[in-house]
Formats: sequence, structure tokens, C-alpha cells
Amino acid sequence: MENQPVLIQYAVFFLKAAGITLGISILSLLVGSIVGFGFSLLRISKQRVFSALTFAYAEIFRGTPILVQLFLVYFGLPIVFHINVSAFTTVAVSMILYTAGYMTEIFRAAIQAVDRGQWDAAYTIGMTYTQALFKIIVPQAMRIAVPPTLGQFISILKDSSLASIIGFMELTKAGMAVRAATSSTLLAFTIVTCLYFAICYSLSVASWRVELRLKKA
Amino acid sequence: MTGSYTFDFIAVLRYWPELLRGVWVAAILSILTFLLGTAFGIFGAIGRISRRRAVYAVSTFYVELFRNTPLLVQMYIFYYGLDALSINLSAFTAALLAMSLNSGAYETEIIRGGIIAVGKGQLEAAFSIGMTYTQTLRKVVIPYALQVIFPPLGNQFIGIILGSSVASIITVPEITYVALNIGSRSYRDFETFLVIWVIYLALNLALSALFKLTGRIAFRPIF
Repeated sequence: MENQPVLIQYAVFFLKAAGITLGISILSLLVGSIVGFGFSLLRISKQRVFSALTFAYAEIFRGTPILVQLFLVYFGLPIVFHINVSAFTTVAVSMILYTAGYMTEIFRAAIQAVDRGQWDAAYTIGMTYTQALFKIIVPQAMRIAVPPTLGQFISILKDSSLASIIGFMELTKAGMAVRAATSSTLLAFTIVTCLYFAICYSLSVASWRVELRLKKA
Repeated sequence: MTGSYTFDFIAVLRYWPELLRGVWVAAILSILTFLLGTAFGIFGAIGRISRRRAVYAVSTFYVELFRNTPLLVQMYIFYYGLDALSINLSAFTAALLAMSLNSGAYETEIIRGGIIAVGKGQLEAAFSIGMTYTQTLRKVVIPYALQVIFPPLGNQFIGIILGSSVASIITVPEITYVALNIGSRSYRDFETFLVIWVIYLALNLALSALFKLTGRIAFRPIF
């Protein structure tokens, strides 16, 4: 059993990498949601310019490959801003921009899914637009947005594998590194696949449960 | 800080023929993926509504496995993983297999949804006016299911095109691969990627408009 310490080392390496995949995905979801929420309010506003701009933003970032966006940030940031950026910054910036596009649409759809009567009721009791929006509509929209947001989180987790291309050490990159070091390709890929599956499938299950509960409510 | 960088798109556009070839490869790869993926999706959907436990279990496992792991890892397995088992696929074949199995998993759920949407009541109605099984299938089930699955299948095709950019990583010479190649020769990586950014966006906007139009013409409201 002299191999065991090495095995443990690899196990720790893989688990850490899975943690980084989770971490970068949570960061992208959080910041992307905040930006997306703001954009969704502009998107439904009556100001033509704001709604057109946020519509265009969502269409552009949802309508092009995340890999291309990643390369744009990778090549663009140093050129446009003359700063040397780390792989982490590149990945975080591109994934946040991408996620914000999707979250804009998720929140917009959720807000518009709230029954029109809720607005009327809020106005009837004398609320202003802002009051109605934040006190009545948004709380209900947030619940509607939970299942698609979980779905988006699963997408982000899977898309974060592309960060490996620019040398960011997350789960996929860890698999490639172990494959290169040990030449046991199949084992490395199996471990990587199982870890992604464990994370994403538990989220899928969580998403179904939430959806069922929302339907009952 | 900003402003000192001069953009040079002419340097990129000189490589236009190569970009067009990349678009062509991406188109072929995406169309083949969609066709194969739809075949997998039909089998998957039949399995997912089957009452036979084993068939249901196998198709459910297939769907969940491919929907809950990254496309990139799936491509690596078909390219490097099979290679380790001495099965040497070309990069294009490996990408096609990974992409169509991946798309098939999503299409399984789309097609299953379409079949379920044809309610029992419609079948009973068709039988009660004396339609045979084949007539019911041809005149009621398939037209209605097609109408339900057409919009999500269109979105799926657009998703396939976006995903085809990942094939660049295992060296399939599609748009993104060509862009990396041009970028390193022209030293204009940023401009090259801005150009293909627009290409992908234009492709998707054009296709999504086309699908909407087709849907409107093909599926005029029946009732």
C-alpha cells in the first residue's frame, strides 16, 4: 500500500479542483444575478432606450458561444485596458457577463409572469410604481425565478469547464493535468465526470423539488 | 489608459476565405449533430415513456448523464478517452458523436414533452369518430406533437451551433478554431474574435427569424 499517499494526494487535488469549479460558478451566479436583476428592471421599464439596450445585451450574450466571449475577454482586457489580468479575472469577468445576460431574461420573464391583477391591486391601495414593484411584484417573481435560476447554475457549472482552456485550474484542467502526469486517461476522465455529475445532478434534483413545491403552492 | 490601441480589421478580413470555410465546417457539424441527435432523441423519448423498467432506467440514465456533465468533458472522452482504448476517431467524428449524444439527451426531453402534450382525450376523440390507429397517429398525434416540439427544437439547433465552438478545443477546424489560427498569424486576436462574435450572432439571429417564420407558416392554428 505504498501507493496510498499518492492516491490521497490525487483525491485531495480533485476535490480542491471541484471546489474551485463550485466557487467560480457561485461567484458568477451571484454577481451575474445582481447585474441581471438590475438589467431586468431596465428591460421592463417604459424608457425605450434602457429597455432596448438591456434587450440587446441579453440577446448578444445569450446568442454567442461562451467560449468566444471567454477569448474576447482574454485577448481584449490586456489590449483595451493595458492591464495584465490573471486567468481567474478573465474567467470571472467573462462568466459574469455571460450569466448576467441569462439572468436578465430569467428575471424579466419571472416579473412578467406575476399576475397583472397584482399590479392593479397595488395601485388601487395607493402604491406608487416603485412600491408596487418592490413590495408586491418582485417578492413573487423571486419565487418563480428559483427553478430557472437553478437550471442556469447547472449550466454555469458545466460551462466553467471551458475556463481550463486558458489555464485556469478547475476540475476539467485538473483532470487533464492528472492525465498528463499519470497517463491513466480513462481513470482521470471517469473521476472528473463523476464529480461533475454528483454536483449537477444533486442540483437538478433540488430544482425538481422546488418546482413541485411551487406548483402545489 | 484606453485609446492607444488601433484596431485593424482589414488584417483580419484578408483571411475571409478561411473564416468562410470555418462557417461551412460548423454548419455541417451542427446539421449532422441535429440529425443524429434527433434520432437519439426519438429513441430516448420512446424509452422514457416505456413501461418496461429496464428500458426506462437506461434512457433516464443516458439523459441525466449527458445533461449533467460538460460538453467539453464529453468531447475529451470521445477523443482522448477512446484513443486510450485504441479506438482512434478523427477529431470531427469524436466531436460529432459527443455533440449528438449530448443534444440527443436534451431532444429526448423535448420529444417526450411533445408526446405527452397530446392528451388522452384527443386519442379517444379520434377513435370515437372511427379513425384507425394509423390514421390517428398520422392525422392527430404527429401533427400536434410536431407543433409542440418545433419551437424548442429550433432553440436546440441554435444551442448546437453555439456548442460547436467547443469542438475547436479538440482541433475541429470550425469557426473558433480558424479564429485562433488567424489570430496567431495576424497578431490580431482581439479583432478576429470580434469578427466571429458578430458571425455567430448573425447566424443565430437569422436562424431564429427563419424558424419563427417557418413555424408560423407550417403550423397555422388548427383549432
